[in-house]
This record gives sequence, structure tokens and C-alpha cells, in this order.
Amino acid sequence: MNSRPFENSPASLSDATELARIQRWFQGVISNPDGVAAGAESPEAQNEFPSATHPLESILTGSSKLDPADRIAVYANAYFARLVECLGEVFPILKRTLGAEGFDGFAVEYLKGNPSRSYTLHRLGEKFPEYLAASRPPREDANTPDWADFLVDLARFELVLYEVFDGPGIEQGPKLDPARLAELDGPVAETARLLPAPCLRLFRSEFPVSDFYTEAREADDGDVDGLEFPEPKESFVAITRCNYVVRRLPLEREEFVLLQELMAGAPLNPLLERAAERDALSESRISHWFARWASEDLFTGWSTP
Amino acid sequence: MQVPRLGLPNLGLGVGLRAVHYPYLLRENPAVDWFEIISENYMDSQGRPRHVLERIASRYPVVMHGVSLSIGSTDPLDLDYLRRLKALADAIRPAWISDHVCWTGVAGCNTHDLLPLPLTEASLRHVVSRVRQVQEILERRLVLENPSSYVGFRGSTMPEWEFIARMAEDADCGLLLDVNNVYVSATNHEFDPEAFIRAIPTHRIVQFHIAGHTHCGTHIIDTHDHPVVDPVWNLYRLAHQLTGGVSTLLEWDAHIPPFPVVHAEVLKARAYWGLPDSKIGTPTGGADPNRALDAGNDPGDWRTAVPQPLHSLLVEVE
Ligand SMILES: [Fe+2]
Repeated sequence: MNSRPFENSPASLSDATELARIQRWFQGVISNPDGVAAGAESPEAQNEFPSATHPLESILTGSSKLDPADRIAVYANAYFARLVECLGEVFPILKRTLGAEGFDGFAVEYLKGNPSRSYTLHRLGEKFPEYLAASRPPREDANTPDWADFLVDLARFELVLYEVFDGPGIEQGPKLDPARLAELDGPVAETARLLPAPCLRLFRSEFPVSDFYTEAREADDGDVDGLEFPEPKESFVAITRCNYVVRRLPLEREEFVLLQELMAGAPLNPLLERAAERDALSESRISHWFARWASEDLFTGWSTP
Repeated sequence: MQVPRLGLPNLGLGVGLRAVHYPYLLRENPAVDWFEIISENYMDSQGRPRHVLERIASRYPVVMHGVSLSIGSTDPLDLDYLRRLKALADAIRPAWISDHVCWTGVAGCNTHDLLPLPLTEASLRHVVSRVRQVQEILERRLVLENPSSYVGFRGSTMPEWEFIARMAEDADCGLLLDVNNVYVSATNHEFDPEAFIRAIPTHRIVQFHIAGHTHCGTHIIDTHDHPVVDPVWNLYRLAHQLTGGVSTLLEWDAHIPPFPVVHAEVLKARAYWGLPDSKIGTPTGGADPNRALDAGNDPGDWRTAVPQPLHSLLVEVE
């Protein structure tokens, strides 16, 4: 049994203020991607215990096998490892596309500016697509989407999948019976607004990321290198959830626009008339869409004023 | 006379509920005594995790185990978190709610790690007053676990077992004795794990955790990715003897094998009930089968050994 006395520290830790200082210092030391020595020099740590007067070993104990810096490094290493791993779960295909090393690099940079401020890790990736978009190099040709646009699209796409998976859904709630669509006729249809499923999201991208996602997922783990970045192609997809599993529904451009307007709460018939004229939509094309939306439970019903 | 387990039931041998096992559990309804959930994985869920939990909770006793309470932080208590935690408890009626004797962040940040406290009178007063507040908000006793730790503070004035024992008495809370964490910390801080266990007031122990770890040669990391090692089983036997038996739960959080393998691991506990304590392990002696000798487990590589538990979400897309 080790009988090392609990030595007196220069910091007396005699009250909660002292505890707060220790905690801010400790967090500053372990949350620096350049390691604990750099962490100890960070403003967060220096504000509490300047390293010149309070080196690590004056605050922390060593063991017979490890010195204090190696010991606190367990926390410092775990800090980024854990959060980077968590981001990798939110963006698995982006991670495979970039390679683990490339992804981890972006993730660490992102985490430096966006540490978790929540009790849950589920919000950790919320601003990652935004971060990628803000830190991308400029396009070579301003009018042509490039690889960076593709990566941002892919990140945005995976974030939506993640949010739809655990967000509100229609599994327990009402659904729109396709047979009831016939009731949407005459005066009712002049004012009726369709009610979108709470899990429905419309996604537009410069690249066919949903197709890429499918391909990448089907490829063997080691095989992502073999996947070429797709050519730019404006793409539209509806993302929803059925029986707790996320579903994707590729959309035509006009279908996407119409869905967008319906989700914004436009009254049905006036909208359909306007859209039909604007996009030269035939009645059969529109009713085909409606049947598809109903069978995919994109709407839960309608409301009338 | 002190009531064992603070009057809470002995649920038997349970397993941590993990997303990779959902399909098996829903299909097979295996005979398992009880499940422990990571509360944060379910408290905001409106999707499959919450749906699965409701089905599990309707068939098995469930305990809520949190990782974000941050009872030792000097930041104010997160009342929004506590409100959501209580809402989940009201919905699924767990046998009890637990978290860790640690802090997870300060200045509004969450490191999502179980960080160590300086073991001082000031820390003790701080933790005790916060446990009391949390118990009032949750309207039940809180159960707190000894975490694994990797570094100590020069300013500490008492050993961890004294801190935990006094905290439990002063705050009138329950204890979750993680036997593997005792072993991990005993190795890392070079103390006697048996002395730790003998110093804990047994009637306050409501639950045990057992788990595997990664031995890095110079220290042990609590990775929950291996079977339980013999020295930990031997400590478990001692703890079982001292308490007369309490709810026991196996944690397996990384490289998770199929459910029957995990379940079989916790069932091994029965072999340690009522046996003589001739083989109580010492932390430094003997070979540890989890000793990481391959380069992939180099403790300097931050991608390998991550202390658990970690809460996470496994997205399912058609
Ligand atoms: Fe534990």
C-alpha cells in the first residue's frame, strides 16, 4: 500500500473558488490539440495558474511509472479522440471519403472553435457543415462547384440523416390515407394546406450526394478510395422516416419546388394552378407525385381555415 | 440496523443496453435480469432509441445511468438537463438514477469525460450540497459511482475511499461501486484496491459495475472493451461478501461482441459468490490479459484507448 502523503499544494484548494480555478486550468490543459505542454500555456490555463510559477508538477501528482504530464495526457488524448470519434459517427461517409486522417484533421480544427456546450453529444456536429463551408479554399472557377462543395454537400446531407433519425416522426401519429386524397377537391382544395410529416426534410445539393452515399455505403470499407468524386449535378431528395428508419426519395426539380411551397403552407389549388402554369406541369404528372408522396407518408393530413 | 442497499432491490445480473444489440433483444427477448441505459442516449430521442427503450422498459427492470450530471463542476447545475432527466425517469420508471463522482466541464463546456476532483474538504462540501439539490429536484436518492482516474492532485487531503464514504453519508445518497474502476485507479495511483472496498459503507452500495479495461504497461485505461480480468473478479467477490450481494452490471462499450457473449460474461459473476477470498488480486502483481503489447495499443496514440462510457447514436438509413 502506498503511503505517499497528500502533499500541500501551492494552491490551497480551501474553497470553491479555488476548485473553480483548478477546473478551468485542468480543462485548459486537456483541451489543447497540441498536447498538455501547449495546454498549460493556453490563456485558459495561464489565467488561473501561470506555468512559470505553477508548473504541472506543482499541481498534479506523478506515479512511480508516469510523471504528472504523462498522466494528465490520458485526459488530453481522450478529449479529442472521443469527440472526433463522435463526429465520425455523425458523418460516417464523409469520414470514409476523406480518409480517417483527413477527417480527423478537420474535426480537430472544428472542435477547437466549437467545443461541446451541451449535456448531449448529439448536437456536437450541428455546425460542422457550416465550418467546412467557411474554411474551404476559394473555387478555381467561381461558377463551377468543386470538390470542396461536394464535401460540404455530403456533410450537410449526413447531418440531416442524423437529425431525422432521432427527431420527431410519424410512427405513433396520424398519417394521410392515400384513399382520402380524392376528398381534396372543389372548394376544400381552394383553402386546404397540407401538413408535412415532422420528419420530412427537403434537400438540394450541387452534387448527387444521396447517390454517392448509397454507393459508398455499398462499397467495401477498404474500397472508398476506388470511389470517384461525382461530377456536379444539381440534385433534389426528400428525407423522411418510416418505422424508425430514415428513407430517401429522389425528386425531380419541379417536384422539389412544389413540395417546398406546400411545406411553406401554400393553399393547395391556387398553388397547383400557379405551378402548373409556371413549370408546364401536366395534371397526370402532378397526380403521380401526389400518389407517391401519400404512399411515402410525406404528409399527415391537411388543415382548412 | 442499517437497511442493505438503502432499501432498493437487488435486481440480479444485468447488462448495459447498447444500440448494436437492439435487433437481437427485440427478436429474442432473452432472459436477462435487468438493463442499464446511458440516460443521455434517450432523454431527447424521438426516434428508434426511445422506441426501443420503451419496449425494453416494459419487459425488464431498467436503471438510468448518466454521464453528464457533472456533480463536481463549479458551473451552476444544468437545470434543463435535470428537467429532461426527470421527464425520462417519469416515463420509464427506472429502479434508480445514477451518475459519477466527477466533473465533466466548466465555463459552459462539456468535455464528455469523467474528470477527477481534488479530494479536499472544499470539494466534498461542494459535491455534498449539489447532491442534495439534485436529489430534491429528482425527488429521489441519487446513486453515484467512483470513476476511473488517471492523475491526482497535490492539494488532495484525503484518499478517494474516504471522500466517497463521507460524501455518501453527508449527502445521504447511494453508491454504485465500480469494481473495475477501483482496480484501474488502484493501479494508476498505486493504492490497495481491497482497502478501498473495505472502506466503503456497505449498506449504501446499491449497485456494482464490472468491466474490462486496457492495460498500457504504465497505467490502465478504463475502455470497457474486454472481458473482466481475474483480479477484478476477485475484488468483486470481496465486495459481494461485504454487501451480501447487490445488483451487478457489466459494461461493454467498444468492440462490443454479440449479446450472448456479453450476457455470458456477467453471468460468470455467480461463480464468485460465496467462494473463499484466498485469491484477492493485487493490482501490480501477475499478468493482466488486457495488457496492450501490440503497437495498435500504444498509449501515446490518441486514437486508441478512450475511457468509457461514451454515449452515441447509430443512425439507420434505408
Ligand atoms: Fe462504471
